[in-house]
Amino acid sequence: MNSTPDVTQTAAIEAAATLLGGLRKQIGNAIVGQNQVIDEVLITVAAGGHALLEGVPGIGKTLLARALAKAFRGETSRVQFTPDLMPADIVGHMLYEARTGDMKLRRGPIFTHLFLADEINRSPAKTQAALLEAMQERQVTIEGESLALPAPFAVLATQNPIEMEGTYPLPEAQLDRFLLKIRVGYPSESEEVALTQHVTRGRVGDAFALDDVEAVATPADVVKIQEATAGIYVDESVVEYAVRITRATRARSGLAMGAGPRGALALVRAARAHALLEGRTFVTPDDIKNIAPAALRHRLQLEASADLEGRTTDDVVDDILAEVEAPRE
Amino acid sequence: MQAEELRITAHPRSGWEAIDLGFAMARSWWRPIWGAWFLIVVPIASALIIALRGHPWWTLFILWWLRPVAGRVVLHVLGRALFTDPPSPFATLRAMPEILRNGVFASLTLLRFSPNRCYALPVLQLEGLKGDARQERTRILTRAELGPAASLHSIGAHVNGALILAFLMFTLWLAPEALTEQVFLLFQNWFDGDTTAGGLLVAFLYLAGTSVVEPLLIAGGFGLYVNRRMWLEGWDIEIALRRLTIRSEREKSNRPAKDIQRGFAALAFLLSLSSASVARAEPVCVPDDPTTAGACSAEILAGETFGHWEDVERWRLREFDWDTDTEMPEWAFGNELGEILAALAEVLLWTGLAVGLILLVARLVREPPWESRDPEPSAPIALFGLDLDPKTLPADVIGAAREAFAAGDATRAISLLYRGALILLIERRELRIPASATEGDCVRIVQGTSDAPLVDDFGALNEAWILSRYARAPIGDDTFADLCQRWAPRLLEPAS
Repeated sequence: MNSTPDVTQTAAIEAAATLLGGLRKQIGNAIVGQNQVIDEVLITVAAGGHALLEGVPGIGKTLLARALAKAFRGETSRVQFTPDLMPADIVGHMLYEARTGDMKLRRGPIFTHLFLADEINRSPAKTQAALLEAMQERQVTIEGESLALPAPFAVLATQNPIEMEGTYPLPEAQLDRFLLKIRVGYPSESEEVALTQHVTRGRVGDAFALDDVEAVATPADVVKIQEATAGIYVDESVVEYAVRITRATRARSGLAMGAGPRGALALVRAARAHALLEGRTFVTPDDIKNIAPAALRHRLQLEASADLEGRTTDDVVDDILAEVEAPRE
Repeated sequence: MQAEELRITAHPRSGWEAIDLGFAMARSWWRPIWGAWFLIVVPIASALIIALRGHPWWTLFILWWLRPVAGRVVLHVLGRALFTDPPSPFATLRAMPEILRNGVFASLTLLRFSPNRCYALPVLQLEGLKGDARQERTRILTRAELGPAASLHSIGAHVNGALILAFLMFTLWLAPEALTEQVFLLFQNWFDGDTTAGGLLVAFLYLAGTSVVEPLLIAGGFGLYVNRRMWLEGWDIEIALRRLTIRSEREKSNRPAKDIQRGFAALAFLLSLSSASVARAEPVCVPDDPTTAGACSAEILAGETFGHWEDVERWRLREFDWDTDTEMPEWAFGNELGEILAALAEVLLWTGLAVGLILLVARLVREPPWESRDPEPSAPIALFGLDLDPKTLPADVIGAAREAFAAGDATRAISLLYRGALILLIERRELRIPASATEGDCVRIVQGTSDAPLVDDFGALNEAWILSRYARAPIGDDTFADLCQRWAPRLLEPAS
């Protein structure tokens, strides 16, 4: 684990925390309510990860990505995943140019800062796998040529919570690549009233405008935030706590599969970003506990019997958090 | 009611055949039955569903509760169709006051949970009997075929449920793909009880299922009722006699004596069929004219068939008379063995009762029902690496902490204060802090005490502890002095 941050690092972390707070405020100008979702998306970006957003259509997932991109002057692209979507439609392809007789590279929509993969489970595994290299290596390979993706780069993928025909469940290996799985629920009644007033006041159509979102950072600032996040101090006992939680998911009654080592890594990375969002230069066990459901829920697989009983992976994580002892010396 | 006007073939049937007869009637007169249903029941039920749209569970309950009232519409059509032409839906609508005149309250209360409500409904509605007469009539009618009647209800309930599920799946399948999720969510939210649209949809699906099943249930029950009356009242015999008479009148309207002759012949023939002891070879007296009919009747009644007496012996349960039946049977208690057995049984009985009482008292003492069964969460032995055994705490916590701080060991000093605070919270404040509690959880637990100064002081100590423990940050002199000042009164207070 890294050592306690020095004064220089502390200053950088505090600056990053201020930037992150600014981003949170700007996104909050566009998204009414959904504070936890906003925080978890920011944690994902700050930790340099990718997020899987699960929720019914029409609750502002695309708007969230657009608002975030605008807040840091980043680029964003959105691809609706369909059964006939090909990998080349995402990463790009080489195109023969008849005029010059050369092969020209046409970059796909993945070359952006925020890539919104809408309904990712609508496409077959081959297309989903095209994202794997981008998510893990932050580069794509076209015709043998490796091309780096812009920094920062984050995939925000959405999927519907309902089992439907014509969907291809994400393989475990790809699910593991997502730092957090964020549940996006319906807004509360008061939030929905505010949202309706916000959207319908003096506007044509029902499109969500981003007029209230101001650019308060740059892509370079986001990279600094990510670097600052990596510098957040994590005590060894906190790391052990994260590992104990992750290990408790294995050989657990009701679970067919527990979280792998990547689960503990995700917990610590996300906890760092959570601490930064809270304006701290170090991680506490509460950061781990707060972020554990989002960091672990997609890495667990329920047994059929538990599934039939109506239990969810969130229930299991809650049980584990209630059982695993807090850090010890 | 004229039995000869029956639109069905009158002959005694088994219970299941009678139910089948009811279904056949429903199939035969489906237009007036379902016409009346859709004209009267469906609009009223729909209005009810819409009026109660904010209460999905109440809607379903009320729809279920009012099913016997809806079934009366079907029974009215069946009752009329059995003897005359079935009434049109509008005629049924006009007859609603008559339909609802008799026994509605009873069918919604006493008979609502009866497994043979469809079987007994005709007694209430068609016969118009009240009070004891109705009860006696129902008792006689339902003395037989209760099994098929209860099975009819059970099967009806299952088919109803299956139909509702089928309609549900049908709706999901037919919904455009873009809307499938919304439809599914309607159902999902209906279970959560927070969506009017979902409640409306499920209520209408229930109405659709009921619209298929309830008329068939009523028809099956009506079939059982008609069949039972055939058995009890000999409708088939009456009809056979009446038809015989009518045909005879048509053929030979000028020969009344011959009619009587034929009537007697038919009566004798029917009686011969229904009696096993009849001597088929016995000559039958046939009157030649009305003046000899009386003598002939007397001759027939004097015959062996009517004058036959037979003694039959069989076992049956008799009523126990406490006034006269006081003596025990000789074979049981009239000898010594009987008395020994009786004494032994009495001893065993009392012993068993005593043992049972002792076990019950022991159980009550061990696990009093007035106490919670949930095991008390044991106090954690350590939190965040801090030993929470009070014995390990120095007598003067504040003094020990100050010494450690003065020696440059701020972490140990804060640790002592924090440990002292936690032990105080667990031992004296009796707060339940589980071993899995983090520092944030502890703060929330303390906030639950609503003791503002304690919340404030614990918050400050918690912050210092977190900085010291997880950031390895130094604690300032002022901060430490402030913490000592805040906690000294509590930590120096002797335990009560």
